[in-house]
Amino acid sequence: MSDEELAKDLGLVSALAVGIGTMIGAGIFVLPGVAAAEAGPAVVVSFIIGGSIAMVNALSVSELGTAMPKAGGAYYYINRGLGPLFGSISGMGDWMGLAFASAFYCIGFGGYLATLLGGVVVTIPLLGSIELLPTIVLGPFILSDIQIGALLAGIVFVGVNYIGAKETGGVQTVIVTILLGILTVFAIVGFFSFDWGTVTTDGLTPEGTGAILPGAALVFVSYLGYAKIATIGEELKNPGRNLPIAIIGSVAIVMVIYSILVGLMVGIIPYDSISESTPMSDVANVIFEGNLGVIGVTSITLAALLATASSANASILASARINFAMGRDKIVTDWLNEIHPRFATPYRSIAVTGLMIIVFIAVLGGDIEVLAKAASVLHLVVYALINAALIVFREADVPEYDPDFTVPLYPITPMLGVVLSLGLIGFMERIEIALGMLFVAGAIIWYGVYARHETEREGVLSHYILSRSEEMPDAAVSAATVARPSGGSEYTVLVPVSNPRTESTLLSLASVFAKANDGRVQAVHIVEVPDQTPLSEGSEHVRRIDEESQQLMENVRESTETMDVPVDVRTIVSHRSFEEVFDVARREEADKVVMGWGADRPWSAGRAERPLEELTHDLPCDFLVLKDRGLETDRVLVPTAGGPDSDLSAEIATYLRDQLGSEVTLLHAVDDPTEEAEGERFLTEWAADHGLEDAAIRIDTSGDVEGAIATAARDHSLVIIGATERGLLSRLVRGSLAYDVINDVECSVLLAERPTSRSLRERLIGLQNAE
Amino acid sequence: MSKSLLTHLLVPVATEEDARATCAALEPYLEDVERVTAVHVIEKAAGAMDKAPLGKRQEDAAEFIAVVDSELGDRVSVDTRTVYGTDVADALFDAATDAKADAVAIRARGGSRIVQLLAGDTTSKLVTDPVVPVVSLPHRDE
Repeated sequence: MSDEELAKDLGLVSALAVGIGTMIGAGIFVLPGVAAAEAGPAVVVSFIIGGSIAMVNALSVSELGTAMPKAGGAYYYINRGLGPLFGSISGMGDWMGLAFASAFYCIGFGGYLATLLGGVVVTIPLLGSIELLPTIVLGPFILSDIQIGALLAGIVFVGVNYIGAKETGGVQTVIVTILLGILTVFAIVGFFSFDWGTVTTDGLTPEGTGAILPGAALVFVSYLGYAKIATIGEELKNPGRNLPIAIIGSVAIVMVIYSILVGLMVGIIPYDSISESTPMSDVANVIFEGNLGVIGVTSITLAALLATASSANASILASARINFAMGRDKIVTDWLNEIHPRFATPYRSIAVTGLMIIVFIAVLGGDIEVLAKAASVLHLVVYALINAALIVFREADVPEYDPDFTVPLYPITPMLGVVLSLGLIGFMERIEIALGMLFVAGAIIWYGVYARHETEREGVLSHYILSRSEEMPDAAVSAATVARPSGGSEYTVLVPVSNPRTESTLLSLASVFAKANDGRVQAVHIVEVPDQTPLSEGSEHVRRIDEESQQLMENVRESTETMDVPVDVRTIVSHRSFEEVFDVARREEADKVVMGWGADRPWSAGRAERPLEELTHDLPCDFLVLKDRGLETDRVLVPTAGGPDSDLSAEIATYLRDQLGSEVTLLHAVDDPTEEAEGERFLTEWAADHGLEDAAIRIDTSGDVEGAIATAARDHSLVIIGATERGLLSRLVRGSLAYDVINDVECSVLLAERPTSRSLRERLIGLQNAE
Repeated sequence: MSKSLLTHLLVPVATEEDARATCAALEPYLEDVERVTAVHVIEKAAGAMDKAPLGKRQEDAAEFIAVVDSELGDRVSVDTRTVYGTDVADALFDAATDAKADAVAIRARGGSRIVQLLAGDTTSKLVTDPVVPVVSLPHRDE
C-alpha cells in the first residue's frame, strides 16, 4: 500500500461506525425519559422531526465535506466561506457544543453507573464504610451520585485521550456491532411486551401537539454525531464517495433505530413514568422479566455505558480537530495544538476541552435538559452558518470549489437548512438560548479582541462583496470592511542592521518597497555579543547596549530619506546574529528582508548555531541582499531567464521605477545569434507579464551569461539578480558563490531570493498539504 | 568482502529534540556511514479516529526529519521519509527493508517504566524482535 493510502485509513465501515457510535449514546440511552415526559407518546414524532432537520443539514455538510475534506469540518467550511468572524463563531460554537455534549454523555454514563453501583457500600478499615458513589453536599452546592459518576467518567475519558490509549478501528466497529446486536435483541423481545393501550392511555398527545416541537429541540442533540465524520474528513479514504454515504447513512440508520426503540418504550412503560436518567435499564427491567432477566438488564446497562463512553470519546477527539484547524488559521493560538513528545496526542487541546467538560458536569450537570439544549443551540447556529456558507460558495463561483456530492434541489435545501435550524432554536427555553448566545457573543468578542489581529484569511463572502463594492449595498460593504481581518495585513520590510553608521542605504531601499505597498520598515539593530555574556533582559550590560543603539538608529533614521514611510527601530542582543535575522523575520511576519553584504557584517561570517541549509532552505519571506558599491537607482539592469526568482527581480524593478523613476533594462542571454528573435519574443512577453512594458530590452547572443551581465552592467548603476536555484543565501554566507559576476561588476548588485513554493504557499493560503 | 554494518543506517526520529540528540549521538560514527535514512512514524489507528489530527502530525513530521537533513546533510547522503503504521516498531522495520538499510540506529529515550508503558515502549520492541540489526546509540553529554 502507498503511504497515501496508509495515511488515510478510515474506510466506509469505520466512518459509519464513528457516526453511529457517536450518536447512539444520547438518543436511546439518555434522552427518551425526559423527552417523553415533555412530548408524550408523540415523542416518536419529535425524534423523526429532529432527525429530518439533521438530514437536511447532513446533505449540506456532505457537499462541503466532499469539496473540502479537511480537519475541522464545519469550522473549516464556514471560515473559508463566510470569513474569520463567522469562523470564530462556528469554531468556538462547535468546540463548546462538543464540550457541552460530552458533559451530557458523561452524565448519561454516570446515570447508568449509578444504577449499576447504586447503594454499593465499600468498607475501608479504620475509615468505616463509604458509598461508592456518594452524594456530596457543600452548602448550596449539591453533587448528586450521578454527577459524581459523571465526573469520574469525564476524568477517565479525558485522561485516556490525554495519554492516548490505543484504539483501533476493529474495536470501534466491534463496539458498534455489539451495540446494534443488543438493541436488536431488545427490540425483538420488547415487541412482545408492547401494548398499544399503554401508548394511548392519555391519548397520543397528552401534553398537546404544541409539545412535539420543543421535544424535537430537546432530542436534536442525539443527532450531532454525523458532523464528527466531517471533522476527520482528511483521514477518510476516498472522501468523495465515503463521506456523503457515511454522513447521510449514519443519520438515516440512527433515525430508524431511535424511532423503533422509542416507539416501543412508550408502549411498554407509560410515557410519564419512564426513568429520566436511565430509561433503557428501566424498560429492560420490564421486558426481560421472565425471560433473559438479570443478564438482559445488565447487558443493556453495559451497552449504555459503552455507547455513552464512545460518544464522549469521539467528541473529545473531534474537538482536537477543530482546535487544530482554528490554530492553523490563527483564530486560537497554535500553542494549543502542540503534540505531546511521548504520547503523540494534542495534550493541551484535550486538557482544555477536558477542563470545560468537568466544569459543565459540576455546574450544570444537575439539569440534563439544559446541557442537552445548550449543546443543540450552539450546533444549530453552526448548522445555519454551514448552509449559508454553501450558498456563498456556490454563488461566488469559486473555481476550486468542486464538490463530488451536491445537495439536491439547490438552493431550496440549504435555505431550508438555515430556516429549520434557526427555527428549532425558537423552541428552546430562554435560559438555554441565553447560554448559547453567551458563547456566540463571547466568540464575537474573541474575534474582535484577538483573532482579527492574528488571522490573515479573508472568507469568500467578504472577498465577493468587496470585489463588487459598486453593485453591493453600502451596508454590506462597510460591514465586510469592518469585519475584515487585520492580522498580518500590514506590509513589513525588515532591515537587519549591524552598524547603524553605514546602513542608511539599506533603509532607503527598504522604504521604497514599503512605500510601494503602503507598509512600514522595521529596522532591527542586531548586536552580537559573545556567548559568555548573558542576554537576560534586565542585565545592565544589555540595557546600555540598547540605549546606545537606539540613539544611533535614531540618528540614522533622521538622516535617511525614508519617503515618509513609518520606520520602527528595535535592538536585539543576540549570540547568533545570522539566525536572529530569520527568527525576527518569522516573528514579525515580514514580507521582505533587505540586508547588506560585506566584510564588516557579522552575518557574512556565517556564525549560526543551526546549519545554514536548514535556515536558508525555508526562507520566511523574500530576501534581498545588497552588495553595496554606492546605491544609485537611475539605471537598473534586470537579467532574466524566467522563473520565480526573476519574478521577484521584476517586482523590485517596478517599485524602483514607480517610486524613484528608475529606467529599467531587461537582459536575456541566448546561446547564439540564430535564437535572437525567439529571445526577443520571450523577453517582450515576460516584460508584459510583469508590468515592465516600458523597459528597454537587450538580447545578448554571446552564449556567456556572466559575461553578458558584466558587459551590460557597465552602462547601469544597479543590477538585480534573482537566484536561479535554491540556496543562494547559504552559498553567499559560505563564500562559495557561483556568480563571480557579483565581484566582476563595478556597480551595486541586489540579489533576490524568493522562498520555495511550499513555504510561500503556506504563508499565502495557509495550507500545508494542498494538492 | 564483508560490508560494514553501518554503511546505510535507518534513523527513527520522534520529535525535534530527539532528532537533534540522535544526530549528535551519531556524530562520532559518521566516518563509516555513507547514507542515513531518517524516518518519522505517524501512528495510525487503522480505522478509528487517530489520537491527533493527521495534518498536524504531517506538519511536525516534515520539521523533524528536516532537522536530520540539515544536521547531517553535509557529511553523508540523507534521505527522509514519513511513514504510517499502527505499530511504530513494525513500521520502522518495514521502512528499513524498503530502504534496504543495513541497520536501525536508535537513541533510546529512557523515561520511567510507567511512561514507557503508557507511551508504548518502542525501544524494547525494536531490540527484542529485530528484523535487521539494531544499534543503540550511547547518549552524549549535552
